[in-house]
Amino acid sequence: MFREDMSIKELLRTIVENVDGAVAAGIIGMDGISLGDYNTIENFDTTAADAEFAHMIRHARKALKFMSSVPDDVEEIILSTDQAVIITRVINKDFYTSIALRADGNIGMARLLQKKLAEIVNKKLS
Amino acid sequence: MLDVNANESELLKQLVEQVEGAVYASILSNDGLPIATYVKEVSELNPEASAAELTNMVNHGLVAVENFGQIGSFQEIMLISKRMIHLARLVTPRIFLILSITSDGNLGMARLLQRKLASILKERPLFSES
Repeated sequence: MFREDMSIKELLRTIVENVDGAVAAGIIGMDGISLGDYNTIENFDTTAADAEFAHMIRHARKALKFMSSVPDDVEEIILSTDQAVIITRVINKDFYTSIALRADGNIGMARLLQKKLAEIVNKKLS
Repeated sequence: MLDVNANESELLKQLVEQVEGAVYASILSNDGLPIATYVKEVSELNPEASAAELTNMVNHGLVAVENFGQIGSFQEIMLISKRMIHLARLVTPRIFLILSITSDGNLGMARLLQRKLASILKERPLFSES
């Protein structure tokens, strides 16, 4: 499904097209600036939310240090509303990937493919 | 599976004991103050710090949903780390329910029972005006 020679845009389009209910996906820097996105909905601007999720991941990294005496690190943040699910996965210390699904979308498949996507993108970016 | 007649602390205990890997559950107000908490003895979590930090996560989630627009109303946020999964679900606009499980715990059962408990709590007069 994913190939290492695919561009970031092609990788994002592949994940959206292969997850039931998926509508958009992106690769975003921890500074909140997008590296690439693929979007099936017109006028669906994720700029402000990209920045907010980057902030949430940074905050979660700090929060985990206070919550437990055992060292830990953030892997994913999943946010659900009555209409949508947004799954963010940390790629490395500088980037994360996100995928937005309708509320009845396949979260399990999205997480599985997103993990593979993150591994490929991490190789591309390092 | 959850006794609808039990008090809040007892319900949290039932929740933690029925989900494989669960170590901590709490009912929190959106200022981070716990209304009821249950911690399994073997847990490595600091309950007070977890309550405060997960409240912040929920508040960030509410802002993110608002910034997105057009995606409905906030229901749940999950923070998945290498060791733990923390689930926070809104009960009312000001009250939410936390459940923390180990990363190898049963996430499906955790979500199912947490959702059931949230709907039980939502019907209680104690939370009806929150």
